[in-house]
Amino acid sequence: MPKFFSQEWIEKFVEAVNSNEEYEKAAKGWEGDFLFVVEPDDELEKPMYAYIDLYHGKARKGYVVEDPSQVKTAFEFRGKFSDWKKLLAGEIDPIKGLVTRKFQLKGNMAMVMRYAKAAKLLVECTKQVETEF
Amino acid sequence: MWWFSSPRIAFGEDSLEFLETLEGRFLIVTDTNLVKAGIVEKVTRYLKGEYEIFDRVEPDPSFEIVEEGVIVAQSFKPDYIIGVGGGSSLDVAKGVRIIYENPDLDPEEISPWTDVEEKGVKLILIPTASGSGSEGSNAIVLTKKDESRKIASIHPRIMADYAIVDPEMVNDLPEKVAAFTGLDALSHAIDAYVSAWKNDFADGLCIQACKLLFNYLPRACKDRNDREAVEKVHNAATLAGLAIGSSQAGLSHSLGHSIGGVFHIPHGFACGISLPYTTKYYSRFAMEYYEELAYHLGIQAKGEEAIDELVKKIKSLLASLNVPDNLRGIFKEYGIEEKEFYDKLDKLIYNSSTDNTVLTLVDIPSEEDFERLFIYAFEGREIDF
Repeated sequence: MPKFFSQEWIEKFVEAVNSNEEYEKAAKGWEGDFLFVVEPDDELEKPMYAYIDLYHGKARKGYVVEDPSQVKTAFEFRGKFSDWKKLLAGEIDPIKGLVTRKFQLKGNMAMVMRYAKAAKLLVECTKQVETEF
Repeated sequence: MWWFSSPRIAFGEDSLEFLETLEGRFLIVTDTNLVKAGIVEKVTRYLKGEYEIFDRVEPDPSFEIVEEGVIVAQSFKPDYIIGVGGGSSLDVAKGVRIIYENPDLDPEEISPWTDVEEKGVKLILIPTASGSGSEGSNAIVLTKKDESRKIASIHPRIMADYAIVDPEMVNDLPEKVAAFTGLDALSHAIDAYVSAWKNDFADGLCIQACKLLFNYLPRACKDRNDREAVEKVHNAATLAGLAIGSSQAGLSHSLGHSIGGVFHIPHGFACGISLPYTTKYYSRFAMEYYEELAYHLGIQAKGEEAIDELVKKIKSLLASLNVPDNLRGIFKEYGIEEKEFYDKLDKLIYNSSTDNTVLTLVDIPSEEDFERLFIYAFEGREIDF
């Protein structure tokens, strides 16, 4: 079982995205890469980062990022480790998580508002990856 | 964690008199027909202070209209922004307040998690129809004209500070408008009750709104002098608006937004006529919720039978309002040909399946199911999938 935010986990996530037909349809016009950030809390000492390149309904590539200052992405999604665990367990609705500020999303919101379904499906894909925390 | 929010609500006869307690500069956001009909004057006569009227709100209001309203606000510098009208005017008033306070924010960038500043401008919403419930919700729906698409969003700062739900403002509502706005309210109440975000704070509001609408909407449509029925329906619309502010609208609105964005028929007709079809279809994901709602509406049956009776009850309501129970019928009234419907079916499917209301569904239908929903609703066929 891949460890959360390891290179293996990110590759499994990319696979999950690329095999999701509903996501492909919902995100067919989407262009924009993401930096996912796991913020430390009681259960995590150092932050973790992952880069995912999303383009026209597919994930073109994804990799672990050691130094976030070296990547410039169109969007950034971040939250605490304990909240990520709840998100992957389906205990937090991703939109409610954003509204209640458990997660933060930065980037072009006008675009996000057109692709909200795709964003939700993208989060659903994380649940498909068996994860060791 | 989740939220239930509400404006302070003045309701019932003479609630407009609340305006007399306020002092300052008032910007009224409305449409030109309401000014000509003397409806806006019912508000301005209570204002103690200088006021300006921005009356350029259109049906299916665009992001651009909000920007026009903001320019007027920047010149007039109001202490209060008062939305007077149906959902369109109230939504534009919401947009004007938030952009006036945050001039660097693009209206299209209003997302539920956008950081905004509050600069003390108070928002008062006064509905002149009994349907959108916009006066009680934190939602805003604006149209992206070049995409023929409605974009819905929610934000805490979109919620009004005060809502004035005075039946005086809807006494002269034409029968047809009363019908489609009432159906919009019913769609809110049912959608919110079966939402993935349903909660204890909103459920009771949904049930009461449904009861009031099934009991009083036909009376209120037939006779605007039936003061009891008119007031009950007016209250029901606000109750349903409060409910969607917390639980959100659902599948009837996914279809309704799409139909309205493409064909520009009244939103309440688009949602209300979709309701029997979305109810039957979506009950496969939310049977328990529908069954419970049906029980509160006096339906004793269980399971599929309860759903069928609920669908029958909705269709009976449509019939009592002289509203067709299929899209073909309503399109005919608006001069939309069958060919045009099928020509634009792909657009309808795409817009509905990516409408933001799908985010709070227990399960998001596939594009194939959206296609069938539209076709069945157009043809008036019983849902069998």
